[in-house]
Amino acid sequence: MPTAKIPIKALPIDKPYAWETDGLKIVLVRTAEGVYAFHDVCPHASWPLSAGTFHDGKLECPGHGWEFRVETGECPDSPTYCLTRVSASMDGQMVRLEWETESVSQETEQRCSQMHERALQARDPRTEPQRSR
Amino acid sequence: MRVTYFGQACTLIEAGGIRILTDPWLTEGAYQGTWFHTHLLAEAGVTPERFPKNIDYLFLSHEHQDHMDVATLKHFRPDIPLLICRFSTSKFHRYLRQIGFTNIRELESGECLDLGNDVKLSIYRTVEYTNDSAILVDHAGTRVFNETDCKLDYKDLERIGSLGIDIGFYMFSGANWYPIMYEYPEDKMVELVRRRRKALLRGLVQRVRLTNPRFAVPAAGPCTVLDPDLLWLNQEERGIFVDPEIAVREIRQANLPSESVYMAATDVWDSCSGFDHRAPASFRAPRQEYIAAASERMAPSIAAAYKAEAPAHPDLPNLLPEFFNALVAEQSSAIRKTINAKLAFSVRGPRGGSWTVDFNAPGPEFVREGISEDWSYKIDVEDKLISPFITGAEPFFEDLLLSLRFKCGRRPDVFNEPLYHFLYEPNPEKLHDWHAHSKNSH
Repeated sequence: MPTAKIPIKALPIDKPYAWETDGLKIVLVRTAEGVYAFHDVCPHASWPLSAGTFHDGKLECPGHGWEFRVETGECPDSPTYCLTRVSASMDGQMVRLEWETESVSQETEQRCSQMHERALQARDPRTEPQRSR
Repeated sequence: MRVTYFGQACTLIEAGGIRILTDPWLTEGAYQGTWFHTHLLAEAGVTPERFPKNIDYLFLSHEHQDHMDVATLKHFRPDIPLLICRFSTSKFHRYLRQIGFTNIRELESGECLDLGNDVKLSIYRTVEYTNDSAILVDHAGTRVFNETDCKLDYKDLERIGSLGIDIGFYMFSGANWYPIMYEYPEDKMVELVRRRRKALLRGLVQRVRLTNPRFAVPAAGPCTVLDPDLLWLNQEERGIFVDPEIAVREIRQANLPSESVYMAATDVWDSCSGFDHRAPASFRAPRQEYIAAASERMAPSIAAAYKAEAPAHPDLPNLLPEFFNALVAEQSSAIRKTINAKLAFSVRGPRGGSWTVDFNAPGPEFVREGISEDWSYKIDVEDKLISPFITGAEPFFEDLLLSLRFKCGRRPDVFNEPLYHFLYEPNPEKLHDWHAHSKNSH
């Protein structure tokens, strides 16, 4: 599995950062909680998320405003969309990235599928707690 | 090349002796009387009757009434060459034939059509489930791009930008019912509206940056609501319909190479002589002042139009369950499971009632009377407004929601995209293909 290291100092805080190697484009977000990395492409219309903004724990796509939680990569407004995660871990003062060579990893596919199922469950009136309005 | 702007996505493009008209919406009161132009076109002398008929090509981006206005279209000859994008179903094409057009040409997304005299035209298709498309016209290297309100793929926009655009017309505003027609507490509504407007303007700047035209014109998207009871929809803190001058300022503040220009209806851009601002002076009045005065002027005709609305079909209480039972039954069980909603209708009026469409019911009955306590999406609407969509007199159900004459709620508060797709176009194959693809690609 390919890996790379980026100095943590290179990453601005609470701002998307674009990084590229061998044609693979990655967006990194450094927050107070940690560093998150994803393939730098919005699943809606393929915009580079690195040109977007970060706020409230979410990465906002610059093209059409879709938002994704950096902790999970999921889109809270539309659970059918989610980002492809790249493993990011701290190694001293460096961020270590590790990614699969296939464009959509098995892990991501499985995670998205699980999220999709969870979203369906959440909408399932048989499992949703009764709400009063 | 000369481009005359007629509001929303309507542009008359004249080049090489060829006249192309895009998305002509030249009447007022679209979507059951709610949608008016940013400025009333008649005040600039523009009506379908007076509009020049010597148009060589019509381009229609999609079926929304502010882009495909039947009352305007009937003033053009039935055999006018009508250009549309090839979408995944033939519903739009069939509808255009049904209203009388006989010379419809569908173009593949990105396909280049040579019109002669050095004029070439391409249409680009949206990435979304819904039908929508944008148009690019090239006359000997001078190019106009009209995005309409189409959400294009990044690569398409990048490619269009790389060609060198002289003038681009962009969507800059919200154009639907979220969050404005939902039941939110006031403070949450204000916050959602603020965030949505901000995201819309950020997106506009990014698309202008990417396509990099010499001149960027905020064009499609918003409506102006002149119904005195709905005037709050025009307010900055409560509405998603952005003032075009705010959009112009936003682009200017981004310091892009593109010059942002406010064009009002009937203003002209000429590639040789530049801009000619022909619109009446009143079209440059402060926005809220203009809206208040226009609403006062239009209030009697709006009231008369509402009064003249046909009552609901007498059999609506039977037709509505039949309509939804049939549509849901057509779907595969996988799609019903994906939609996974309890869609409740609270229909007011003499032919009203309440029903819940349960996509998880075993069938063949999916609709039952009453509002289920655990509804997940609720639509509250007058009987006379929903009736034509149930009887088939109105073919596009989304038009009801775009009328902004209803209230809705959702639980949980997330976008159920498959349900929206169902309401937009419940074609079983299209729904199946889209959601099979979306599951595989994400």
